Amino acid sequence: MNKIVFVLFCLSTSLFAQDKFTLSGFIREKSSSEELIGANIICEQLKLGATTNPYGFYSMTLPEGDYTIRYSFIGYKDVIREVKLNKSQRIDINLSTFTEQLSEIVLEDEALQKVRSIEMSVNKLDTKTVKELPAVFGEVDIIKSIQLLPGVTSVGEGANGFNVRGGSSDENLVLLDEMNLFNSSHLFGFFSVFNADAIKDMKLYKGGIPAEYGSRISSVLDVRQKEGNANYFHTSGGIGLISSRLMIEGPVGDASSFMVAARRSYGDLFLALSSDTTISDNQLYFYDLNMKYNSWIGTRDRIFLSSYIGRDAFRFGSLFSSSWGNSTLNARWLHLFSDRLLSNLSYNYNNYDYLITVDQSNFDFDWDSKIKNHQFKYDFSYYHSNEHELNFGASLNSYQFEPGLISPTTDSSIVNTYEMRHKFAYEPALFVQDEWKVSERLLIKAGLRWSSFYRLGVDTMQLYSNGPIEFDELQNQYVSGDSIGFKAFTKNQIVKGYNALEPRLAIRYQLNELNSIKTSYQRINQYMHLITNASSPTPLDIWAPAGEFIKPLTGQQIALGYFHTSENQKWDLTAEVYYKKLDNVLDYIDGADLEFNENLETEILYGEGRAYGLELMLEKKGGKFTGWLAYTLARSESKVTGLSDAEPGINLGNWYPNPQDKTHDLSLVALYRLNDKWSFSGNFVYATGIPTNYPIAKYVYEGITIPHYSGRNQERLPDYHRVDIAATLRPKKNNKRKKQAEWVFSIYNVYNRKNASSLYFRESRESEGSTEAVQLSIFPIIPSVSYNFKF
Amino acid sequence: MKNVFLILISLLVFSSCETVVDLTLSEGQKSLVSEAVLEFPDDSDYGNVRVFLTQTASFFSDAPNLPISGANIVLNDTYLLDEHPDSMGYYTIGSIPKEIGAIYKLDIEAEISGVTGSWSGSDYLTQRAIVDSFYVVFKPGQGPFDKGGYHIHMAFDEPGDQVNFYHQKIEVSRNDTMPTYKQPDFVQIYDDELVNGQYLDFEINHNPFLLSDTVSVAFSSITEPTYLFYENINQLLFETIGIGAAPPFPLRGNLISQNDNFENSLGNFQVKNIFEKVIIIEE
Repeated sequence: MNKIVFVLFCLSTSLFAQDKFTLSGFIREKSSSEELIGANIICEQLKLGATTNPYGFYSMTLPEGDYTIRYSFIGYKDVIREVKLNKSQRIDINLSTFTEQLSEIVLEDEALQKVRSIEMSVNKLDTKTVKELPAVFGEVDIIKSIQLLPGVTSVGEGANGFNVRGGSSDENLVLLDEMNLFNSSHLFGFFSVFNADAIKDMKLYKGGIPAEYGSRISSVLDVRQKEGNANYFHTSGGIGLISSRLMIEGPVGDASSFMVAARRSYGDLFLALSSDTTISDNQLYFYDLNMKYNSWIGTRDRIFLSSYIGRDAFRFGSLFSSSWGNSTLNARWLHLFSDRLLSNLSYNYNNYDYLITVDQSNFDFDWDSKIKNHQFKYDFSYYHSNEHELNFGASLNSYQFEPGLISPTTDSSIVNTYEMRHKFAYEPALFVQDEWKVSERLLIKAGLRWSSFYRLGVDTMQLYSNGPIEFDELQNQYVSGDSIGFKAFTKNQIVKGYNALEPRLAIRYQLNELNSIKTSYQRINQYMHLITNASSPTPLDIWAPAGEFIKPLTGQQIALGYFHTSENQKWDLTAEVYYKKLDNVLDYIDGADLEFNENLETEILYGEGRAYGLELMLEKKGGKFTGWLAYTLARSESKVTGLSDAEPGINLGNWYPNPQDKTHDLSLVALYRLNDKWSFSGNFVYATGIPTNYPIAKYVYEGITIPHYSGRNQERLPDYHRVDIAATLRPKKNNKRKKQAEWVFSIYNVYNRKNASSLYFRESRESEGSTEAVQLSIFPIIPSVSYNFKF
Repeated sequence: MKNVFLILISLLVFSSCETVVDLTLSEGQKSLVSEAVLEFPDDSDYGNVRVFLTQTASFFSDAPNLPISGANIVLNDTYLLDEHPDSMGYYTIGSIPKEIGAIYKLDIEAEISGVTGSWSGSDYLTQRAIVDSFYVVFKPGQGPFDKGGYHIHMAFDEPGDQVNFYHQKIEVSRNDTMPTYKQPDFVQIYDDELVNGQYLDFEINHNPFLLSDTVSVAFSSITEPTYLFYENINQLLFETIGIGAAPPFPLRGNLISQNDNFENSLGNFQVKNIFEKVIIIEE
């Protein structure tokens, strides 16, 4: 009897389990077989939906039955499949591009997706739009393009990196195919390292950062390279005023493909033509090389090899030269355990370094600095049911910091060899996250990340009698603490360890088809800091790991947003408010000496920070005229009170604006496609001037006029604004040849506004004894033309 | 080093668009400015104190900073300085005994705009490096930025058993006039971080001298606080401008206000062990 009951139970269980089956697969672009990220899958009958993950994979579990499944993605024709779901099936779909006006259904999907999705504080820009925007010198730039979105700013022209919701640029995790880039700019921030021809997708998380990401508290910019056209060989490129680029992609056998893209600037080639050696001996250029190879092994396994190498080089005659850049490698294995479970095992390597060479009399030396990072990551995605999608995984980062090696380059050099201590660290992490569809209206994504950081030997730590930094009341300044000796650490001995739990929560409540409200909370620890006291960082700044005296930065952010799409889905409105609280904010004493300083803790004070703001975005989609209006009202401040009440701290212990504080930031972007031949674009940007300091008096000391300042960041540069326009001409496509080409004409800063990048004070050159204020501007009006092609 | 790099980039890449702009600046309270130095010449057991007091002025004012007369200045609670009868704001006293390692304290009481303030500061005397030789070298010009001319070299053994800081000041008499001097050529500071214990032989001037120039070189050893003070001046004047610049900041001196009427004095009080040499540039 017991056996019969058992068998019946198993049978009934088995029957019950067979009621639901899983539909899964990959969605790709038809012409290239590139996976599409964020494509939509809708079950018409049940009104259930799913989207493809970063690997282009989807999974949807439905009861047994007959269904109409619609596959769609913005810019592509829908594919509709009638599916008889009586067993789990894998259906891979290829979508064709749709160059005519987007269908109503496609627009609807994209608009409703934004309302339905649990994601908030996320911005996506497709590379097609990026390429149509006006660009300085005609150089398409992804990072400059995301600065047209709410909550994303730059500190100014010529500034390295970008700022998100009042955070500094080192608080952004910049990933290229999962490879962590420590410097995302060329030529001191004039251009980014991303070659738009090689990029497939990019996504910026400003808040509500999923638990799979950590290490940086303000944002994650996740950029994915193309896999390479798996169907036929394809070439594209462009020639511009500053640089030229070329991309080649194509199949390798039946199951593999590759992509190689290169870009180089060539201003220095013109300098070399000069007969004047004081000109021809100078050099300034950059290059990028993006490479990727992937291969399917059977139907369940895929391997990827991806690499990026970029370099900037500068030489000033024979006196001075410098070069810096990233060298990265990613090796990844994607495995489908089943139609509901997939894994991604990856190894990433990044080496960022810079080299300075000085050749001056008998003062010749090289100055070399680098940071090396190895990362192992193993992530899983489990599509448990339509109600639960689980993601979990582990990662391990190892870092080797080589902050500076000075070595003489000639026998006559009087410079001694000196090397700053190498630093070593490990950063393991675990995460788990569940996206839970509680009901049709309520969606919750809850996650937990455990992060840790261990500084390890070999290392030597200075010991202080009363802390690394003290306020000397007699000298009226901060001075290094009294050193009482050193403590040595052997290889892999723990110098200092940190652990933290980082909860993540996102909630979406759908009011109706067209409206939803969302909220999110995140807590993130950041264990590395870019050491700079400049208003904007440079490629020569070094990264310092947390340790005994350098504390991890902790950031918490809460955000609340309202999302609306119009009845015809052509207009989207997004409104978000956020508040960030930061602990262990690190700032530098006045006149801090950061160069080649073995003991940075003697220049650092700690305090708290806050950033808060309102972001509004109104977007028009579909039709000939598209674009958006983005406005941000925000503040970003710090407060550093010093170690005791008797000390001044920074700004006398009062709140002061951070360099990235901009009260108002407005971007108006318009794109107009007149016909197949001509399209136009333009943008207007406006931002409050960045904080700065003006003198309140002057005095003379040893014959030198010295400006006298009070406080920090108490004034502002003049407000920033400009207009850019661009026109794209696409000559009629020659059907006999597969070549397509376009000319892009653009004008950057149409009305030649002299926007202040900095302002300083000096003795007047015309009136001795007088002083004057001098504003430094970077880009005047810049017309440019570039030619792009593909075949 | 980073600042040099950034300035070179600006020069090379950009016809840097500089515009003189009109600004309205906030006015701060008047502050005392003190140039106070106790110098011990190499060949004497006694030193001289020189103090020049002025006050701050509005930033865009064309008027020179007003000197402060009638101040009461005392060294080590003992030596009362005398104001020079022909130079308002200039105070001196001599015959201060020399003692390596001793701390010297300066007290100032002065009136600014009818309000009396008092300030106090101290510094100590360090051992000086012994200069072996000075010699002159001619270098031909190289390119548009280097016209060629004469450079003075100084050579000495840098003591390797301690951390040392140096101050160098050059004054040039050309055709019987004294040109106004400006940073960075005529006042320089050094530390021995990269050259500790080496035999140093280096060029002391970037801009070349001309034949018949009379060059007065004053080379001093200074304390670390004084070195930091000059380093901060250098940072303020040259590393807080342009791309990637650090924020400007108020310079902090070591003359601390003793009452609430005024803030701390700008400038500082420093004690130097000084070596002086006069060189006439000849072929």
